[in-house]
Amino acid sequence: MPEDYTSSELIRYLLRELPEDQVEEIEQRYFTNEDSFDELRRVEAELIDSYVAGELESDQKKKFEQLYLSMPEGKNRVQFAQALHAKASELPEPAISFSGFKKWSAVQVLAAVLALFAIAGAWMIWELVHLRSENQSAQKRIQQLKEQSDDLQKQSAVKIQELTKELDSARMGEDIQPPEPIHGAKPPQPTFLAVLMTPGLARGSSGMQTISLDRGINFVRFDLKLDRDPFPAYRVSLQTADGEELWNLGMLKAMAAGSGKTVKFDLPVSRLDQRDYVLLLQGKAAGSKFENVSAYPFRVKK
Amino acid sequence: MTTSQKKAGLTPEAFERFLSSLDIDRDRAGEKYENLRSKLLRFFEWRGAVHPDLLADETLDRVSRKIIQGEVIYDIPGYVYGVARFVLRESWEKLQRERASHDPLDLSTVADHHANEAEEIAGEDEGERLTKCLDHCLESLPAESRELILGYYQLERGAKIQNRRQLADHLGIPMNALRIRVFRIRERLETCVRNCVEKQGVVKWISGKPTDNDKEI
Repeated sequence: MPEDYTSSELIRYLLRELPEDQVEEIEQRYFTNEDSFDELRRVEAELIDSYVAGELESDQKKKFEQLYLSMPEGKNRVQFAQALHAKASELPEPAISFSGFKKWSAVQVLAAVLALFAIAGAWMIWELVHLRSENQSAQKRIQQLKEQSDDLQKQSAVKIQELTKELDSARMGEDIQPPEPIHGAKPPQPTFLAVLMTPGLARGSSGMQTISLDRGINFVRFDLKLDRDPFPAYRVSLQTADGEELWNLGMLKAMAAGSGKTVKFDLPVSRLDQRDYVLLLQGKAAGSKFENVSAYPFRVKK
Repeated sequence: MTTSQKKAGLTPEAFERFLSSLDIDRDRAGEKYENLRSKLLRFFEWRGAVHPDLLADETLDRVSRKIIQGEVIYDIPGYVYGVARFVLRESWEKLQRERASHDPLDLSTVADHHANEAEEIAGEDEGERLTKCLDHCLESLPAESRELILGYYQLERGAKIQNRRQLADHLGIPMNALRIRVFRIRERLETCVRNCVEKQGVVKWISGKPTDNDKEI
């Protein structure tokens, strides 16, 4: 319909409430324009629907009944609308539910809820599998680190034990008291075998001192008796009968012992096998090299 | 095009000339003819004419006669409307003459006369048969159209408006487009129901029957 005619004006046309000039204008338009004709018929259908739905005002309702219900064609249109509305209202729920849960059927709601649960369940399972996988990886890594830590602790303990022994040997040679053990735990006391070695027993001599090392002896504490003491520092070298050096210890000093002097040091039993050895004592003057002082051959028995 | 709409009094030659003036293509000409007749029917209905169908045919006959007489008509719909107004005025004058000569009824009682006539035509089981035809025609609609029109008319007042908004949202169209779409379905449905009822001969959808006086218009 033309833009200047509203729905309410068209309703007035249908109810014959418009003046003749406007009536003719509307009719002229809908005869020559399809859209105008369609719009007028739509407005008429809505007018009939409003009557059937009981939505017309009192005056309009009276006029509508006077015009439409008195004419066979109008009455048929009203009857059709009444039948259509009755048919539509027979449906318990809206025929088509397009939005909002309130218009979904129970089956649809149940299906939607189940679908949501299925999706959530699948997601949770995936997360669980993922977390388990991560957890296993983390546990493996922890186990690896623990094993590495144990290895390091073992290596450290062995190293500490070796260093402690060597330090004890050094301290004994220098007459230094070992420090208090950490955490107050006293280390096991080493067992010493004291051996006094007299000079004059030169290499090649048939007379050889024998040292018997029983089990439980950790160190052999040597006292190398000196005929003279011309050097401020000494060094001992443990050698095989063939002259191969197996062990040595420096920074030693001669100490008074009775009428003479001795050089004292502790030799770890672990360095000794059952065989013949020679302890070679060397002295060193200031600014010079070590020179041989005495040789002390001995035989070990275990 | 249903040539059955052509009034018996119109010669085939006149009718063909009228169709040719509407469109060169015969099918399109037929559609235009039916469209013009539909407008004439509504025009006479809305104006409260006693027999809209007869007056519509009388209007078309007069236009056809003008064409065959050699009158050149450039705006046929506008010309048809002019003739229809003239036919309507004549029918009112004729009705007044009849009432003045036969009974004391005036124009204001015409509606009552037709209401009584309609009630006589309709039987007691009219409503039931109408419902059956409606069910039949609803079933003949595509499912989408059937659900749409029932959903459109399902609720009342506030709920109805809300429901129609949801329908429009679902279809992704404005409310006015929904209104137009539903109206087209409704027209198709109403035509189907009308034909169904006419076949059963229970409800008379065309108001009144031609009388001798009507044919003389």
